Amino acid sequence: MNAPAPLPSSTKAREYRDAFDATFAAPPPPPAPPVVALLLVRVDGSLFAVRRSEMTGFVRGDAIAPAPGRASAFLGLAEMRGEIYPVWSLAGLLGRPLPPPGSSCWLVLVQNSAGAPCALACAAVDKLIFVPESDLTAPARPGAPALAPWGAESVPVVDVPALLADIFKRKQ
Amino acid sequence: MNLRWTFGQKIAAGFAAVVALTVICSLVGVRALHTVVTDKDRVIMENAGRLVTAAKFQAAVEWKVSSVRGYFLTGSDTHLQRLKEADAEAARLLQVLKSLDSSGSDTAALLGKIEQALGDYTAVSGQLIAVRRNNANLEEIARSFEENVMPRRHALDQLVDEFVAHEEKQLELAKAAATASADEATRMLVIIVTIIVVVAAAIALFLSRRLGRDIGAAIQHIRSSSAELQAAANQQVTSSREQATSMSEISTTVSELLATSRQIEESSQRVAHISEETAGAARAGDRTVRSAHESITGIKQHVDHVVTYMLDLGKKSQQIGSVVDIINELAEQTNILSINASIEAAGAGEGGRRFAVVADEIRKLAERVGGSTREISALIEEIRAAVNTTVMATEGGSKAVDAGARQFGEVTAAFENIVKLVATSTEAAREIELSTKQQTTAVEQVNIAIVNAAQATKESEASSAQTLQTAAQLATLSGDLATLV
Repeated sequence: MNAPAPLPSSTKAREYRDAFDATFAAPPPPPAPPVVALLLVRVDGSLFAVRRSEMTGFVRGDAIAPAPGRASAFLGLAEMRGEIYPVWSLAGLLGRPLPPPGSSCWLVLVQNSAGAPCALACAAVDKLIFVPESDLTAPARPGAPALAPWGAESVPVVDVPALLADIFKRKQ
Repeated sequence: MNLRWTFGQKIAAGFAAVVALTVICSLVGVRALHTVVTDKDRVIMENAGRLVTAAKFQAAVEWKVSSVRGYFLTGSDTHLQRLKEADAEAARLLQVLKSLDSSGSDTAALLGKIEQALGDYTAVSGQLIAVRRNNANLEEIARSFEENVMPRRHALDQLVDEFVAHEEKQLELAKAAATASADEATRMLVIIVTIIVVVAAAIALFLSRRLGRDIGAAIQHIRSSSAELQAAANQQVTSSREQATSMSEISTTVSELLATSRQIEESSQRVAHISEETAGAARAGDRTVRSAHESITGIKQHVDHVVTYMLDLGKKSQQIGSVVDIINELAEQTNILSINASIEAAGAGEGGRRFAVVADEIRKLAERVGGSTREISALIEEIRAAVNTTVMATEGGSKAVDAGARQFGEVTAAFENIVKLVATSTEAAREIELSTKQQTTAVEQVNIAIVNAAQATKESEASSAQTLQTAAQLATLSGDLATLV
């Protein structure tokens, strides 16, 4: 029988409370170097990063109504916040195998430069990270994604405008 | 035809043959003797009888002549009376001779002549007697006697002498014939006796050889048998001695067995006493085990309560897990909400910068809550695992208690069986005690019987020695018999 893990002591709770209080007591932080907020999502078992600045929202994809379409990556339509979003599989857009129909997913809400909404479905959301903009690695060639450092790995950064351009170009 | 005759039959057959030959010889001898006797009797009865009768006739004639002379001389009637008697005797004897004549016509003719001469003499003498009766002259009478009577008397004497001689001759001839017949019978008897002797000798030789051979084989067989009998008797003597020794050892062993039986009897009494004490102890043990069984039943009830509490604890842990899941869901939703808030704040420009900070802190709090709920979930899982382990261990203990209770029940039943078995053992010990007493009595009887058997063995040994002696005597006897044969 394994020894039970030590329960969080009251000291740990006090540290949490002190840190939370210090947040309000501490002065505004000095100007930090510009950082890029990246939302790490999991597509086909691999991590991809989406720029928070290119997102308009982030919700659970519970109600996707299937709709006919020629593109296999097109999953259907979803209604959120009073708007109709076309839902596209991020895996299909990235050339990865499509997840089985009906599997749970998260929707990354985006819009193109014309303000047309669109939802990109991914399998899971891992974490929101902040990376200095200087740490991003530029694409090695045209069409290749930029890379964001995450621990000892590098996570490809999804080029959302390019995907939207491709989607809307298909629709036209 | 191969007949296997016994010694007795062979001897009887030989003896019968000899007896048969002897009987034949005897019959022949009797026949020959009878012939000789017949011949002799015939000689004696016929020839000698005729000769004697002839002699008597001759004497009667002489008596007649002398009577005639006496009368001539004396003139006494006495002589006449004698003369009559002589005439009658002569006539009777002549008739007898005639009746005895069997020799043939010569004798009959001679007897006829004698009768004629006798008649002539009687007639002449009668005339002269008549003369004498008339007192005639004696000289004339003498002269007439000389002239008339004497010639007739001489003729009569001559015929009588001739007849006597004839009869003597016939007697001699008959004697010679009888002697010849006797000699023939003697020769035949000698021949037959010789044949019988030869046959008897042959039979004796045959029987001697045959019986010698057979008896020799029998003697050899008797020798070998007596030798085997001697060896067997020796072995029997040895066996009898060994048997006597064994019987002595058995007697000693039975005596020891008797002592052992008595010890067993005493031990059985002690065993019966100990069995009664054991029965009491087993009953006490049964009561103790029943008490322990009740205690085990109480422990089982407590263990069941513990299991129930632990199952409740597990349910509570599941409920806590559900609550933690809710908290985790809320934290996740808070995280999503904070991310969306930061997105909105970023879209709000400079005015949303402070709000972005707040949203980021909310996100951090949500992440901390998520981390804490994961730790709580892990702890709850550990608690559930511990509870499951405890429940399983408790159920195992409950099962062990159940098994212990069942085993105590079995122990109780075993104690009950022990009590029964001890009672049975006590009864068996008493039966053993009784049986041992009977066995002791039986062993005593066996001891007496073995003593008698030992005595019988000694007698058997003596008998075997006697048999050995007899076998030796038989061997000696067979040797003597072989020497005799």
